[in-house]
Amino acid sequence: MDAKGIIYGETALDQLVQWLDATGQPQELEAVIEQYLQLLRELMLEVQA
Amino acid sequence: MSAITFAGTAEQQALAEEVFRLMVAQGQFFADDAPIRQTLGNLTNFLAHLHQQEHAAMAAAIDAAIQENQQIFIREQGENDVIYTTSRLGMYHPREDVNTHTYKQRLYQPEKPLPVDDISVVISTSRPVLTTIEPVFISDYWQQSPAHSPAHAQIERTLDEDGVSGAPPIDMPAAATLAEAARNDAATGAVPAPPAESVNLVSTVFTLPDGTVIDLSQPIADVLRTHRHALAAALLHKIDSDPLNRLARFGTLIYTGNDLPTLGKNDLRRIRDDIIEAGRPLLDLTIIDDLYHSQRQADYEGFRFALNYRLSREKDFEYVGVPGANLWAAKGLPAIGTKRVKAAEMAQLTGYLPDGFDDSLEDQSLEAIQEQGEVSRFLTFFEWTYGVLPFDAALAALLPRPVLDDQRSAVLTFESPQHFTSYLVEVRYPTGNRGGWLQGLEEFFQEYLVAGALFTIARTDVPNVFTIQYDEAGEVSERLLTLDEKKNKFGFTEISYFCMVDETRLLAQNMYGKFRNLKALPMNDRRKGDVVLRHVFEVLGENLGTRAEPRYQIDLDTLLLAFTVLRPASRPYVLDLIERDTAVTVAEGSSNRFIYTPEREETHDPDADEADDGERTYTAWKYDDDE
Repeated sequence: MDAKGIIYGETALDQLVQWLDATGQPQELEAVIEQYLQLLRELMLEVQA
Repeated sequence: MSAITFAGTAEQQALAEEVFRLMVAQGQFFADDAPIRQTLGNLTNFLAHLHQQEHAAMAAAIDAAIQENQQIFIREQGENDVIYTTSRLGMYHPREDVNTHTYKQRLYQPEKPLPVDDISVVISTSRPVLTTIEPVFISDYWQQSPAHSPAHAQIERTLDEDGVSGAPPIDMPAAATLAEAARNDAATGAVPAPPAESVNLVSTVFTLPDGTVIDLSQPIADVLRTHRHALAAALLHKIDSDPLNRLARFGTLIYTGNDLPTLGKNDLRRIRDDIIEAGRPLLDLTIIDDLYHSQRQADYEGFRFALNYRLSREKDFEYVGVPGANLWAAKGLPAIGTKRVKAAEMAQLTGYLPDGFDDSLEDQSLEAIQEQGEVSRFLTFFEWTYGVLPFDAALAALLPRPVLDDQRSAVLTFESPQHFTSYLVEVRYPTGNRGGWLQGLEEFFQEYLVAGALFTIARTDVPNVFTIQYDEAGEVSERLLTLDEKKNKFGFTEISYFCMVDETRLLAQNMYGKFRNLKALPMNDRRKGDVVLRHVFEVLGENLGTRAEPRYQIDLDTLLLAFTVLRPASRPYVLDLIERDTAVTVAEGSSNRFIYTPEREETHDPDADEADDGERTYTAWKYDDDE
């Protein structure tokens, strides 16, 4: 995926929900943002590859 | 079909017609001009079996008959077999559509494209009704045109395998240049080079709704450090506005929203009863311990989050916690602190703080407060009387910030290690141009302190618990200023105290006897600084003029001290009032003394005439003595 197509807060949000679910407990906002950026980055690299 | 005639010998004609009928039967539901294909092998197998002939002979006969009827059949040599093609009309003619400039092409690759400043304009960032991510087709034309890229060429980079930006930006020719090159190539007959592969030219940046550009090729730690606030604000906004509630947040904690445990009416009633029974706000941990201890060991943190999240959406509950201590108050809980001053009045009385007249950090710096974890200050008469403290910058540096965006107040516990007592203190946070304050210290102040006493508020290891202490001294009894609530008058009362005081701030009768003449103005008047200012001038100022044409003079320290009897105030605030009041001037020879000259009243006062003769002057002090 080209990063231009990313809608922050919507793209890959379901994956973020899955990650939160897997952690089993609430997470601090900072950790969530970090994980979300990581997901977006992986998504971008994955599609480009 | 009757118009179709077959060529060749009679046998070949019959065989060709039979083949044709077979193929038409195969494609009876095809369009008239649609191709119908069949292999020689299949036809041979069927007809050899039908006519009981040799396979090879039949194959040769079919092929010969078809060869004679090339106006009806097209013969092609396939990889494994010969393929015949015909149509229901008798001859297949491949369709030739003129599609050199289709609507699709015109739409996505216009001949004269309209200017688009930013590619994000094309990608809609508006929120759909349902939060499904709709793919938006953007033609290669727009994506490969650097003039329309949001980040432009300098931020378009290729990613190496590590995902780190490596290669320098690729310079792409402008659209016009491309068109010229295409024309030149056409003129020279050269084959135009294929467009650069978009795989090699990828954008690693995206834009937040506020315009912040985020480059995902940068290390995430760097991105977070640079754009922490923008990323947090954008994500929180999306979470809050998500109609599907996929994520839930409470303060800065985020969790999945769909599977959160719910609280029924019975749960809410039990929680409310628990709080009312305790008579004070309760921690979420206490509520779980009281009501859900045995049920929620496995998913403790998840349930704790759900409890806080659900209660925050209930109107009968109010969050009054601080970071690290989630406290809940319920409707029906007794109010903390004085009822003699309404919240709206206090918010206006402390409104000078957000207006920029806060001098609380002059004696103790912000860094010192945060490092030492304590604030020392002198108690004023107003604070002593009502048990309130203005939420100024010094206290803001010490006390915890609100957890929720719309949180109005927090409840703290102030412990007195000198007396082994504790007090619930409500912190009312400032909003807009309304100031904040602390209330609930009335009992402590009046029991152990007097106006002018120095006291210290300090943090403890528990986020919602603070200590309040003062320097003890030997017993002193003095007649100090007090407010008689029944008569609504100031007076002096014999009071014994055991604390260290600043003598200049101690409102003793022998020093500030005329303060009793101050009127206990209604709070509605006290919030008007200019009214209080003139009142103080008139009551405490020395009249340099006559009774008919008074000119009241007072020094700034006395003025400020009198101000703090009637309302919270600061030196910059009083100076600003003085500066804005055209009737107040600086006294000659002293920048610290001010003169207030009231506007002359037009009404004739015979008493004033009598008072004007001779050298007699009117002062508040004499008036005080008369009383």
